[in-house]
Amino acid sequence: MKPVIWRIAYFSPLPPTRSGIADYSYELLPRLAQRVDLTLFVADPDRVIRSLREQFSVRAIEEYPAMRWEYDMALYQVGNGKHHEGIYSTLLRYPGITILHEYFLHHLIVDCTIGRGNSAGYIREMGYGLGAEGLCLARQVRCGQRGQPLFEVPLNERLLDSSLGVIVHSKHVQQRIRERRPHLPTVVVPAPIQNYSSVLSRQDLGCPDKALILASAGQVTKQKQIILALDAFARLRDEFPNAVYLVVGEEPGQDVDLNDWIQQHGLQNAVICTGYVHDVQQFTSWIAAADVLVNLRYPTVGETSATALRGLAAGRPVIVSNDGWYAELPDDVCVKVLPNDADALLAAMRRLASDELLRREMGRRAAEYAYRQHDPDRVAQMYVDSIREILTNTTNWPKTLPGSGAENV
Amino acid sequence: MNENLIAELEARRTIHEPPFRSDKPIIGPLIAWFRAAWNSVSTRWYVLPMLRQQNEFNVLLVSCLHKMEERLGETDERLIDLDQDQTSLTRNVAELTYQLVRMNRLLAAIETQLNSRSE
Repeated sequence: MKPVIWRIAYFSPLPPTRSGIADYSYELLPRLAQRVDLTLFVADPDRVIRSLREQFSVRAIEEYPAMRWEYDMALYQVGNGKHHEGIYSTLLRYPGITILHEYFLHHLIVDCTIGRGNSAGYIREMGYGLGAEGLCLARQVRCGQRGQPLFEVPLNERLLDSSLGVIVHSKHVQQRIRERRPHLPTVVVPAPIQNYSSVLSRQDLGCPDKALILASAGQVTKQKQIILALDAFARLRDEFPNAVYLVVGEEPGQDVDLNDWIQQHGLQNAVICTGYVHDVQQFTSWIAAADVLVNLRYPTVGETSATALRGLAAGRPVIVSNDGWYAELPDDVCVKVLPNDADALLAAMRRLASDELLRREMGRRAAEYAYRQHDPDRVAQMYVDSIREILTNTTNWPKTLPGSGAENV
Repeated sequence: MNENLIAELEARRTIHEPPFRSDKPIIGPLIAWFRAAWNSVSTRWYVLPMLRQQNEFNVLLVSCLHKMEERLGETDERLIDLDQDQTSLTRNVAELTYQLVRMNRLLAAIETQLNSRSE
């Protein structure tokens, strides 16, 4: 007899959208498809890369309401950014299981409300999250008396109250959710990381062959503290004059002026900025070209860094901020520094720069850790186990269907 | 409603009779005295009752605004409660939808099993 397979409606941004969650889904979907029947829902199906369109049924989000009776569960990949507006509003109307990539959703809510000229919507959300105090805060924001509390107020309450269950990527976020919504099923599933082999050498990338290379990768934002890292790097160069710093990724906003910093310090030959790297394999090659990856984040919005994970998977020692998910990484696969501690950062850089054996050992352990914890196959199975757990809790799904002769999955 | 604005209205609700002044050197006090004297003869008896009337109106208006603010606060709280109830109900509907989907699948499986037995 044919085993019964769950039918899952899967909502996520997908490549070529420039989003870490699009890449995340791209790596997870083939493994998940071996275990459940997937239909993908996106804002614009025609824009999705051909390989996914050939492999999956890709539908427009607007089609879901009429089709929802065909699915055993909807999975919503939600992050704190503009690519998730349609997903977020569909989730609120037709709840399912949420995969919460960031604990804070304030940027997303601002995009969905104020970004669309709907400041009343923002006030409503603040009221929902914080009660009368939230209304007062939001009105002050509207009058220009204060800025948006983007890193102080998570604004995830409505999403948590809507969700049938939540999948998160760290114990840190799970703990925070449990403190506020103790009865909501919340499961930790590590983020999947595909270990791409490095396709391009240092020479191919135009990097100096023998230099000590440090790198930061991903979108260049203020929270990633690239300037703090570059300041430490400039001091490191007193001892390692041949050291080079790679900045791999785009500058989406105006909050960091890399060129200005480089000009001021006269380090045009020592800092290489690649801009946005389209191909994930090429992105991994850039990371692999480095001897040390610097992946700082402050303040954290409860995210898991795919870039840090790619660095670990590529066998590179990573310097991280000792905060949020980063603090959960084992001590022997990375070096943790207190947020904003420039001296500690320099000391960590110096320690790794001067000890090749340490770099190699730490890199080896990092790659092992990434494979053990973040292997996409393992993650896909954990997804299925989590879905089963949540479905059993909320809808009393039986383990077998009559006549199926098999477990659901 | 802006609490600061109401507080400012409250502070300024009473209109006072401004004393007459003159900036002219030496004869300034004389001018001020003359204006005050003329005012008390010609207009004060007429303006003062209006001033009182205006002050009474202002007190009433500020008190109304206070009450409205209270009411708005209560409405805000009620709206938040309704919003939370609606979210909870939407979640319940979703749960029921998934349960119906599950029951449909169970029924379909039972039907298939019965059909295969009867054949």
